[in-house]
Amino acid sequence: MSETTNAIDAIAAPVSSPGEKFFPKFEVTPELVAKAQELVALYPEGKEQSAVLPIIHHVQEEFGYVCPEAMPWIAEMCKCTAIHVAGIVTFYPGIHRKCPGKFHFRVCRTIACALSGGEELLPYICSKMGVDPAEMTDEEPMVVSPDGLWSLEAVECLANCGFGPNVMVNDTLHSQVTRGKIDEIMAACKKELAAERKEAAAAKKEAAAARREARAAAAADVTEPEAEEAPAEAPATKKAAAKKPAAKKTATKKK
Amino acid sequence: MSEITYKPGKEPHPRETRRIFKNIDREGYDPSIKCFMKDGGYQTLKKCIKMEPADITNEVKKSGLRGRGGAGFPTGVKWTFIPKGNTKPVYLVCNCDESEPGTFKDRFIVHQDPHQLIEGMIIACYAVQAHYAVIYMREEFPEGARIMQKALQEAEEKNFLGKNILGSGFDLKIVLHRGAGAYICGEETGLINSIEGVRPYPRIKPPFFPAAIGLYGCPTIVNNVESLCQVRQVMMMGGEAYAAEGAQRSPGTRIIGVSGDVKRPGVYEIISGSITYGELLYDICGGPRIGRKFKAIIPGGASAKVMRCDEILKDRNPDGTVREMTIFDVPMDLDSIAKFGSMSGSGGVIVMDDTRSMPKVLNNLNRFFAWESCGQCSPCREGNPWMYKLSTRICEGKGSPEDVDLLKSVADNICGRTVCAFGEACSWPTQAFTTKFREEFLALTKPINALKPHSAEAAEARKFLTRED
Repeated sequence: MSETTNAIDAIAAPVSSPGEKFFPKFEVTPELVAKAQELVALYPEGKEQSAVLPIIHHVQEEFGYVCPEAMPWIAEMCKCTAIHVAGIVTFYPGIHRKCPGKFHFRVCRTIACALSGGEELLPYICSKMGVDPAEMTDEEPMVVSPDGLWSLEAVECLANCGFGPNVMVNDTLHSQVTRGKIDEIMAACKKELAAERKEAAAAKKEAAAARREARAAAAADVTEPEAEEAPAEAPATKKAAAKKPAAKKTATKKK
Repeated sequence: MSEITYKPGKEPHPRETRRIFKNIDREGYDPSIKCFMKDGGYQTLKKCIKMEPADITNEVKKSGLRGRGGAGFPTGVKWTFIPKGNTKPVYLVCNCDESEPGTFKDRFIVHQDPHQLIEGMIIACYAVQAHYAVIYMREEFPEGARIMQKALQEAEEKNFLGKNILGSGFDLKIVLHRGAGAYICGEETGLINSIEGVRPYPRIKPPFFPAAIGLYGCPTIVNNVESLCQVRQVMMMGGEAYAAEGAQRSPGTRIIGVSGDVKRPGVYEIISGSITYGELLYDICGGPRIGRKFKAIIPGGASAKVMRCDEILKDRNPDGTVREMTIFDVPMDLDSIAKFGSMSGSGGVIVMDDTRSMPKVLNNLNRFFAWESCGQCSPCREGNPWMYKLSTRICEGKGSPEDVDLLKSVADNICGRTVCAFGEACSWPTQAFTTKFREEFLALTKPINALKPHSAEAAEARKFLTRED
């Protein structure tokens, strides 16, 4: 962006973040439109604008954040202007204009949590995530780690004051958090990611196998698929190999 | 009811009276409608839906139930503010945007007993003849939103919601609307704006009293989560029986959230006025941590004025003689603490012991208010960051004694000069902290600091003003 960027252009300017690789890119699909229409229908007739916040929430859930391209689409759905949507997006602290990491940590720093040591957790989490605590300012309280896996945000009151310090990881609240508990949470997150990746890889392999089988079935040759499958099997781990029969079953069902 | 057992370690204190929190942390209880109905759920609704709506309002009025969101306005009276001969639709909004620091009661109701709230809401909607209601839930309860959504669906399947509820001819739709992390949405007119899909700037009263001109310009009743659950309690017990219990001017039970430096922080449901702050903190919460002493108490959420524990409060006995007491002797109802210049608000008690630095506590609160000011009125928008800067400067030891007075004067100039009550909420802590703990603030300041520039930019600018030698 040039030097002459005004405030509105600044809102419309994309903010890049390493977290983006964990979320799909914003795209208007029929499912998304249907969901938006469903949300609009919740409100009285002629009050489409009320659905702005619910649709923004949905977009944020699906794509991690509200990117500039999403705003005109939301406006279209709610029959208001894009700048109106931008006004809403920039108002609420709970709406991100920058993509958070795969695991988004929200650390409460308001009085009750601060009294129980919430603020002291921040530098520790920063060092664990490999982010610079100085990057966290009052204007931009969210930092994303370079690998996009983690993000950290200092927030105000999470409404669980009796059991501080409170940390929210994605949708889950953890209370009475200590340094040890942070280690545990992060280890669990890593495990979750590994499991997810393995699953994704297995699903990919399964899909590929199914496709091959379908092709083979189309060719109606019995010996050829075996030969074709052999190279794919070579790099596969034992687990992936174990999943193969299942893939075959589904493939046969499709037939 | 002796058969109710609670999860180990979560048993209520003997001095508690569990009504709204009856099912919180209860053994074998889940948020499903099956569980709720097995326990007598929706029976009150079945009774109420056969009554005249006006009779329900009268019953609630008779009970003397006061709102639990902080202001303590009588709930039944609020309902009667809908203009007579109104032809517009009436809306009911449940304020579940619990964001006052120190308050964390609604969380438990939403996560563990959502049907209680739904039943209370249906009764309230029937009383004010609202056919459309919104639960405005804060963004920080994503799990709660899922639970509530499921509960609403379950209620609809059983015909407690939807068209022709239980054959009464009354229709009601409840929508769950999620906020997005703004404190100001807890203010009822800000909340209404948020539902309308505009920036949640509070509206000016008058004329925008929600009961007259609210959501979409129609009469709207905004009630707190706990208030609506209490409505169900009132209808269950009967207005007179409800009014007979607890403090005369604020009957019923109250949910108190205790946080900070006590041995057993948590949420406790007590009969209003049945115990004092001392009994709450020493008996129920187990007193201060080992080797420490209580120093200050914020009695009703972050915006209430702080009370010193060693402060002598003067009260009048019924015979006119003066009685001296401390905060520990003040009963826990909605009004008693107001006599001593603070408020009981939403029931969030924050306790600080003698290891705490009061300027630091205030600085934390000031950051909260500076961050959460919506920016509509200039005194609040500009004043809050200013107060935050001043208190930070004092905490860093860079302040001068005049800064303490300046801090208070900024607060005095916000108070009463804004559209909504946030102006008071943000200035009360500063006013109270700087008056009651003035010596602590002064101890951190140095007169010489008045002559020093406070920032790098100021030092830079100062170069041009002073002669270098």
